[in-house]
Amino acid sequence: MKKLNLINFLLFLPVFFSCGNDDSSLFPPLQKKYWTPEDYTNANAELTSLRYNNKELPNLVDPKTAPLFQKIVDTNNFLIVANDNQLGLEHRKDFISKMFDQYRQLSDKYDEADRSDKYKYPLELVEIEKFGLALQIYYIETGNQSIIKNADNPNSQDVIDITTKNKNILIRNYTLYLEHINHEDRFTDKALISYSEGLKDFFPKVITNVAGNGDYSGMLEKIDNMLKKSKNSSIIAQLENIQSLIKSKTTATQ
Amino acid sequence: MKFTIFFLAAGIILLSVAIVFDINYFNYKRPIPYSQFRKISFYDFKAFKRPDITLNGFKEFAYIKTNRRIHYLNNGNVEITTYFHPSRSYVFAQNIRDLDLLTHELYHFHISEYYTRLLRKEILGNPKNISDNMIIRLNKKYYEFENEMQLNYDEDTYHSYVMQEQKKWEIKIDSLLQSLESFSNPLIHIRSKE
Repeated sequence: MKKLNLINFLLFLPVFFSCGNDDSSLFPPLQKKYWTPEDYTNANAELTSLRYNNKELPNLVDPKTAPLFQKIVDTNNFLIVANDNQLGLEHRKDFISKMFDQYRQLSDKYDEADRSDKYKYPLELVEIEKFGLALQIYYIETGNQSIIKNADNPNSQDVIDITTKNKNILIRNYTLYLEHINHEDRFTDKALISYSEGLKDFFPKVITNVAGNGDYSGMLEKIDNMLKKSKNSSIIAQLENIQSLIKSKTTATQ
Repeated sequence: MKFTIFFLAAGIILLSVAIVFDINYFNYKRPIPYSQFRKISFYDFKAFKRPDITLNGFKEFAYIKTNRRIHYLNNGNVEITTYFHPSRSYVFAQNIRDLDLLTHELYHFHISEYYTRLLRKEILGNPKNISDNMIIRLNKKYYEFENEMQLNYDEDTYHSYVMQEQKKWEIKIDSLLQSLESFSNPLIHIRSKE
């Protein structure tokens, strides 16, 4: 009889060990090296649910959820596909386009303010915006590359017009990033430092390389206005930098 | 007593299910030697799909089981062959015609063959005095080397997700195999009594 019980125990041992954990979260696993647009769809669904139920979103303050938030804003998730020259252009364009859709949903999740009009997740909101700044460059570039590749005559005026228009959309989207300066008081000092780093890291690249021949009049006007409003020295310094970069470019092309 | 017998029966059933998930005996197909690798498609991946299984969150992935077998022939010669095991390999991709994924899995098979060729080469370096135990030890050593390369291959390519790394590895493995082309014959003439 004892032998029989021992046999039973041994037979059930693998069953006990094979039992998985009951993690009902829709967030994709952190071990997954690169998240896909489908993963972001799940992450957005989970974030929506958390926000709807008034629960805390993954953030950089909580050590438990900080790795998850860092994964959400990890640009490697799209760079690994966007920069893979062995992948087809249409595949990359579709991938980035889906990522962009997910990013737009993502930024809505973290813009909640408290009763004193301060953002609940100021640093996280800035990090998501910076993720978007990086992503949009590839979104516009792969779109334009596809238009040029599929055009009968890539040098035709129609093609030039539409690709220039797309670059101007990128400039307009970047100008929207400057809109946050209107609400500087909603951010923390740490978030504003990160915000100014976004100005430094992304704007010069767009102005000098990605959309060098674009229309920066709207952005210049915005910078003029924001320079009058901003009280943060790091942001002011970066705005002046961008302003002189645009002006020097305009002067050079005249 | 009835309770014990019930648990014994349930245990046997569960264990049987676990075994069938490891090797699909219901749809068994003999191992395929490396020389036949061009004929392999995802239809040859016959192991059972476990429900809701993912690979670090990847729902579409495949797993290829390979090994090498050493046959000691009566005349003293040795035959070393790399095999692909259809009934222990599985594919979770919905698109079974995903050539990129199949290519990735087949390069795991090529890596196995590369180490088989290295083993043959080392044995042929000392054909007169090599013992069966020495062959077993060498085989173990090359399994360790192979496992390391298989892991690096998956890590770099991230299971074929990173296409430019996949292409680099394909070139590298093709080159390694080509460099040992003269050791591609499974039959090794050693200690021959002929």
